[in-house]
Amino acid sequence: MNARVRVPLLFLGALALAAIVGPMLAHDPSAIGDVLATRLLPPGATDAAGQWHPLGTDRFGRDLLARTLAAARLSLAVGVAGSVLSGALGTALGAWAAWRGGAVDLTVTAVADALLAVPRIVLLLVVAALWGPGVGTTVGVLAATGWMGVARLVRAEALGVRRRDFVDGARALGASDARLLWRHVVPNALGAALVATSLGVGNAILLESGLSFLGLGIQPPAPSWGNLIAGGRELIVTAPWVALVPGVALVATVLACTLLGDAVRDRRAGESGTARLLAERA
Amino acid sequence: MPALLRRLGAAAALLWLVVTLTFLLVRAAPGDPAALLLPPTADAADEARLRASLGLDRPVAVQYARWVGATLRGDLGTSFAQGRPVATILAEALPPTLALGGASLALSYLLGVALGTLQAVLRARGDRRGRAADDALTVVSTAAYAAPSFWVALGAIALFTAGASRWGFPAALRLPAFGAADPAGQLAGWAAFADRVRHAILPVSVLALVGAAGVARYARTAVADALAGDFVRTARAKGLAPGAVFGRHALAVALPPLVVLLALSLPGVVAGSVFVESVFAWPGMGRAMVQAISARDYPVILGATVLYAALTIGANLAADLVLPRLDPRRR
Repeated sequence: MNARVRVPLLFLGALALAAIVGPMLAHDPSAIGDVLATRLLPPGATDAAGQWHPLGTDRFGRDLLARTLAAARLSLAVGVAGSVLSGALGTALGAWAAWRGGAVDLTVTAVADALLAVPRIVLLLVVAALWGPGVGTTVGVLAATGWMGVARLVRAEALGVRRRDFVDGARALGASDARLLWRHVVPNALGAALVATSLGVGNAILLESGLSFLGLGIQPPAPSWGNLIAGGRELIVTAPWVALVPGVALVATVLACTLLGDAVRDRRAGESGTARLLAERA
Repeated sequence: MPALLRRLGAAAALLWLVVTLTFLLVRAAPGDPAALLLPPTADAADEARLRASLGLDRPVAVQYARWVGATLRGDLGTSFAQGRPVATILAEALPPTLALGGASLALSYLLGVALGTLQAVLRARGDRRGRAADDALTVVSTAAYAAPSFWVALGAIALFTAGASRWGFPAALRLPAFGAADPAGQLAGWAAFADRVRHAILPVSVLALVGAAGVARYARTAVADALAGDFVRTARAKGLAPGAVFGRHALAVALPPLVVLLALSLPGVVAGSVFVESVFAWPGMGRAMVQAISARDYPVILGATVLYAALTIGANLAADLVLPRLDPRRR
């Protein structure tokens, strides 16, 4: 494993560990104590009760390090769950469309084209607005608006696999449609789908933070990096660390995901870089 | 011109699909628009009147036909919250957004293509220092690409308003952070124009910074691919000056796809400005959309969605039509 893969992986691993373990060790991230004595302490300050706050406190006196780690749990979980669900949905729909052809194929392709014609952030806003915000909606919305690229990839791969001799052979041996799809078509298309899905994680985390910043994603007091930044919006002049700390965590995470995704993509031989980038865009 | 006609037909069909999809989305969403609009004191007669005026008492097929027909005619209904035609609201919000998107896109292309080309050239030198410099620039630009625009915007506001007075920035760097023009509206002529430009500096810069990082990623790959091409080696071998090899051979091949990306990224920039517009109170589509969402103003939300889709489809169409002219290999 070279440094391009190792460094982001180590960072993400350490972050995930801190997100799981950190909130167990630190004081309760949602605990509100003596607000007037502990609110908006700058990073490194110690409050009246002797608690040390390495990254300061927010306007309710909650420790920002604990809040940011607790938010890492939700933000990472929502980003990963959203991407994995959209990858699974895309794989299923793409394989189904290629296999059945006809009206099914036409419908899936048409819906994918229509969804791709609306910028993803607009789709996210519309669906979050219509269904009401929350963790479940955010994951669902990320899945519902992110499957089209994977579906196209898998459909193209599956169309190629469908005509191969081993599929005919399996059918001649009496394999059912479901078995052919599951054992022969999907595994062949899975590589491309997995790469596209893992590339989408950073983007999903970024989109979740945007939705939460606008108040349409994860709702406070449940912490997410987006709504923590939103909480620091009015304090940006008087207490800039409130928005700064979760933002740095968010940027570092998305940076690690993007660098990791680039490294993985560069390993896949084949087309030229430009063609890959244009295809990724389409 | 059958190819052109086919493309136009496909674009129209796609727009119809999007309009259908928005109709289905609203039908599938929980909640009843009539229940939302009615005050708690309304009785059954009020509700029936409202349903009739919204057309909600008709069969679904009729509602769908009316929605498609009206939308394609440019009639997007009336805003629940403002009582004005949605088309008027969007027509007011579109120019500020296009100005913001266009200016930041132009700036991000200048910055991004320059940075990406520099990186590709550094990498092509083949020595350790070139590679290290390219890697460092990649991490910096990827970090900018990974930064959410609303967060960068908050930082810019802190720096150029409160920070500017605390650290005594020159007057030219004390920038307005809210709105698109001086709210007093007393300025005229040249002063009014200068005031608008000053208001645009922060939002345009934030969008351009985040956008340039994305463009640099594409430009670096495109130029690096071209520099690695056989035709560049041939041009060098036949003794062309390095400048001519670079300009006439490498860039001439690398840049046309980037021009197409320009067309393809306009809708994304316009939509992505939702965050920047909401932070800077810029009176554009993004802010109209966010306001409509918090007011549950469905006609405006759907109208804006259809308009965003029309922009995207138009940009794709333009890219399809322009690329063959720039790149003979694609004819």
